[in-house]
Amino acid sequence: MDKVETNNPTDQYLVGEVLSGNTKAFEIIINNTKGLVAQIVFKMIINDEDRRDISQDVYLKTFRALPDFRFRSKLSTWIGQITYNTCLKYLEKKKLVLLTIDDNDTHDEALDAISGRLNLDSISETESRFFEKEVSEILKLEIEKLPPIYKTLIALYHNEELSYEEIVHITGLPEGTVKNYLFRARKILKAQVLIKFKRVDL
Amino acid sequence: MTDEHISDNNIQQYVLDKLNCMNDIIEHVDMCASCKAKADTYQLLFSAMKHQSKPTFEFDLTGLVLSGITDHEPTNSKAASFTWVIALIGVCSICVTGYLFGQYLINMFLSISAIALYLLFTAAITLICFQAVEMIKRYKRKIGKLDFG
Repeated sequence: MDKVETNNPTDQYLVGEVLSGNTKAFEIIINNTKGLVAQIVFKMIINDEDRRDISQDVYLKTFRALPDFRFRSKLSTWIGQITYNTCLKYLEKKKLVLLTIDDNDTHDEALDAISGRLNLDSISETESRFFEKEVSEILKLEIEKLPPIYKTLIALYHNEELSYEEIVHITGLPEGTVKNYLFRARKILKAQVLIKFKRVDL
Repeated sequence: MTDEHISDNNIQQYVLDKLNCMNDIIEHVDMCASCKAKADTYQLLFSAMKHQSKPTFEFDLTGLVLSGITDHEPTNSKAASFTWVIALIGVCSICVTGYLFGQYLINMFLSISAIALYLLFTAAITLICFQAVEMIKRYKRKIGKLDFG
């Protein structure tokens, strides 16, 4: 794996402080990274109680492994990696499905026709905002229906705006696989959103 | 300009990173109403994905973790003390057994044939080797999963 150029002095300072016994510094690390941890945990784990246990476990593991952190990536990326692996282990233990491919190409032509009918240039600004809100709500529901890994990748790339390199580091998946999964996930989402719009007969 | 419609993959690429797209693709999408509509749909989706509300924990994660850290340390020292006590009991048992039955054990080992003795040692060493290999594998698996970046 390529070395990520992120020898962040803030990370080094915080880690140094934690190692010298300053728990306040660990509190700062938690506050700086809990957004990313929440993204991964919420996308991979459904049960609220388990989310609580897993997120606590992630930071306990981080605390114990901190002396071994070598600053080869951002601290947040490293914590993201611990989170992802902890969630993965949980899903494997529960024998839950990580990835199911339901990428149906047979509807492509029909979907393209619907896509053509969504003429976004011809609607007013108010209509556009209402339309975007509606798309956003449908999308939120459809994202939840995706397999855990697809959901996580979509959240990391589009919502957290992480680079491919960071996602590769967090998930341990090859870059080609990350791109392929993202492509498939977006395609599924596009299809599902268009199907929903077809139902309401836009 | 290519006359064939652009693949879904390339349309996603066009929307995400138009600057690094091939000219053929850019020209086609700009001229083709069908591909332009698909690109617009993706544009709308990506914008909606970007603006999805971010999840937040509804409990005090910091407090929970910090209490876990302080609770954890005594548990570790208790576990360490327990290990020392068990080790001490083990050593004492071996010493007492040696003191009481040492001569009998030596006589027993001297009385059995050399072949039986070799068999016994070979079996014991093989078992130890298997256990060691298994331990190393398990350790590597755990370290691999953590990958201390």
